Amino acid sequence: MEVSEPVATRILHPLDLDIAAATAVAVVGPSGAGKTTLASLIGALQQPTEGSYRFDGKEIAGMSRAGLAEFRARDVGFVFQHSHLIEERSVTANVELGLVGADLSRAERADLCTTALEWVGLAALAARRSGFLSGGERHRVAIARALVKSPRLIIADEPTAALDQETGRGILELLANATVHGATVILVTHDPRAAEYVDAVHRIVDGRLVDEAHS
Amino acid sequence: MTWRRRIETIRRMAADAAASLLLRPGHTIGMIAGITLGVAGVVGIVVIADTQQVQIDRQFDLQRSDRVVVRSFSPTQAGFDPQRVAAVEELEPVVDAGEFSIWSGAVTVSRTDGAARSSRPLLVVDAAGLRATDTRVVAGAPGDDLAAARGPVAWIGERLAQDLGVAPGSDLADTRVLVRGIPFEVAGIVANDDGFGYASSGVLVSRPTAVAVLGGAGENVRVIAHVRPGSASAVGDNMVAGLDPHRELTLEDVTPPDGKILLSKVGSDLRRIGAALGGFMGLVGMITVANTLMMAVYQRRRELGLRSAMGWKRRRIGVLVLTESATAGIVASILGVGLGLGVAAIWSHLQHWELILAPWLPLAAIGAGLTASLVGGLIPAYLAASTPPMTAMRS
Repeated sequence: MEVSEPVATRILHPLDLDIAAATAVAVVGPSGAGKTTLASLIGALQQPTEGSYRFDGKEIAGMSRAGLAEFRARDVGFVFQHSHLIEERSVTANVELGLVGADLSRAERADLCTTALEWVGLAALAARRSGFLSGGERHRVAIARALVKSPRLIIADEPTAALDQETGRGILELLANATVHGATVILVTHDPRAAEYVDAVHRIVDGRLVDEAHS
Repeated sequence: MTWRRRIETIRRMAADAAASLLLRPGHTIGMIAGITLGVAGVVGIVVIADTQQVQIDRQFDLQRSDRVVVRSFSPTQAGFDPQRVAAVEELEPVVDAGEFSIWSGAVTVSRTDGAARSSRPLLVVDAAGLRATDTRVVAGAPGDDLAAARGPVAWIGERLAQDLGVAPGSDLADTRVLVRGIPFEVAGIVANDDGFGYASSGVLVSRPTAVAVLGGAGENVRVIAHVRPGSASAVGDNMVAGLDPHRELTLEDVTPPDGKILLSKVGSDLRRIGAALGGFMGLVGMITVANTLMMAVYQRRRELGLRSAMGWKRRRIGVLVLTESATAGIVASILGVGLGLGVAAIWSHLQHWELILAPWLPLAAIGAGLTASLVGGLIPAYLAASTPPMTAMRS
């Protein structure tokens, strides 16, 4: 698949990439190489201008906006570089945002949020306002929000960029462990430590997939 | 989706909207102020108008118009058909009905020696017209004699009689006055202190006398009916059709405005002003809501992009913003109703009036405020729904 901006600047050149289910892969490369664009295509945040993107055999490219939204709601969890928590809301309220579209009762929602927060080790902070959390805690909440609906795909964009070494490792470990729950994890990162936690590393330079390394 | 799930979805949407509004109290207060003032304006003015109207109704119950005046705009010597006038008199609310025309607004009247000369109204009347206007004969021949008067015979008003030196108690035999220089025998003296006071200073003659002695067709040919209070409008319509079914005289109901109806119209005008003022304030509120929400949408692009990335559909994001505007609208409307009622209550209390509140008004005002708020939220909702999910990734 490939994508271009309206003025015909090619951001991603045609590339073939197969990612096995329930594996963790890292997409690495220099700034501006097209890593985030690739992640956004895989996460169905935007459509490729050409080519095909199949998820579990189903064609995603060409889906309607509503279809893409349903796909994201059902199958994709995102962890963004800056967590993107709604700071004025509680930790639980932020995690619950990940349950959009789920036909669940209030109690079921609460249970799922608690489970997700336990998994990232923040159950004790469930009622705390997100704005009062540390950087590492915020990332954990973002991971819990991505995991709460048990997605089949988790996309993490620079999840360790603003964190110290130890906290970063903890986050990478948490994300890599998500594969245990059957999720496929795609890490978009500059962090060389990511290779230690993933099954494969894909390098992108100037919009081209230049090599592939397996750990 | 079961109804429990639907309720849960609505609850979460409302909680989301309320949280968003509470997170920006300054914006929210600014947003609801316009709607609040608009609703308060409508409620306050309408309640005050209603309350005032009731006071008017109470005070004017005994002062309603009880006279109907039907005037011909076509000159006529023949006057009105006596049978048709009699038919009008048969109408249930009609007490008396008869001719009470102003033949001329000013004719020269003097004593036979030319002294005490002055300009006076000349009226053409019949006995029923005297009764209908409560014009009393205080001396001389009774009003019923007007029917037989053909020659230069007149009844004069008591003020005119005084000016001419004719005392009410004096013998009217051989008493004469000059009207337009024509000597008239004074048959009686009349008085009116019930809204037709000009009769007390004028000259009254029968129609045959006016036509035969003075000539012409008269300026203001009319029938006056004394009716039961509250029936003037209905009787007026019937009289026009009954007196002139073939439209030969070009009759018109010129009944003086009923005080109650007049003030009722004032009340209606006041309510309309209230509605217009409220509508204008509502428009201002709508624009405020739109402006504030658009600012909020712009400031929340990251959050909205996040929701979109999480899988929220455009419609749901739009509904979230509309729910916020609706929540603000309901809160603003309730505050506005309270404020408007409070002001009206204080006003009524100061006037020692009993507050009158139409039961539908609070609900209608809240509905109007909600509608204004929702309309104001349409564009921001559209903008919010258009936030691309990539916003979350790029910001």
